[in-house]
Amino acid sequence: MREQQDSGDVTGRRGGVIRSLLGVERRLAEGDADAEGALGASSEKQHLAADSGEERKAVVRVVAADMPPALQRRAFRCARDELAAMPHFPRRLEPKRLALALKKEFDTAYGPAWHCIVGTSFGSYVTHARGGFLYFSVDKVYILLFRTAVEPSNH
Amino acid sequence: MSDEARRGPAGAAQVVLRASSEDRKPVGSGSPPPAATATAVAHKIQLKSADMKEEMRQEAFEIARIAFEKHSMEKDIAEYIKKEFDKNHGPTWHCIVGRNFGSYVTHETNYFVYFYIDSKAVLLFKSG
Repeated sequence: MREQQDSGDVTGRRGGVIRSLLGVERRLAEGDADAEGALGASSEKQHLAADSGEERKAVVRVVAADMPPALQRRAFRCARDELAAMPHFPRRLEPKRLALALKKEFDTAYGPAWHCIVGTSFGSYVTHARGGFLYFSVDKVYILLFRTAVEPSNH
Repeated sequence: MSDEARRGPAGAAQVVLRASSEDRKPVGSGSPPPAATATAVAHKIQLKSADMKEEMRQEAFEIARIAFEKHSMEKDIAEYIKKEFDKNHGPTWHCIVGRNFGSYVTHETNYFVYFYIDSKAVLLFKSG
């Protein structure tokens, strides 16, 4: 028994926000970390202090989940660590790299097959194994991580 | 069939790792027809990566065109495409649609396609 899971549409939920998201992308490319207002998603202000070595803790929000808490925490930690390791000035999101890191970690720790999608603007419709679905955001990056059952080959 | 069953390396061998990502695509790279004279604008399709037979690829393109005509929200477009493929080719398919995303997935051999329709990327693959 698998469940249909609609992980939501970043664009749709904020109605006509494509322009804002594109703006966010440009700002991210320019190293501007103060773009929360464009999304209207949070009243928290986060500023990167370029001159200090102080590291800001990334904000994690769960949009939807069907996953044991321990696995969720592992996903959050992995995502935070990978994002922290990516270039900050100019800030560059490397979605494929993050997707790969998460998928590999989960395939290794919990067995295949995991799939990961990372980005700032996407919608999806997937079928996942029970207990194997997590859709969350780290700052302004959305991450979909889900598992499917691996079938024996019939070839 | 247990959806929680864990498979060893032998099980994993049945699937092929594929990666895909969306790079920034220049706006207006094509030459769209003038809106005033077009009653129906055909959606431009650009194949980026595929492990899928030609016939099925063409079906994916056609279904995506229909999905874009019927729906405007990315998740609804993804839902339409996935359900058509589950119906036509058996479960289990997964679909991602959007302007900005990267991905890393495991798919069954011969069942993976990644393409652009106008300025949005579509990732469609079978797994599970």
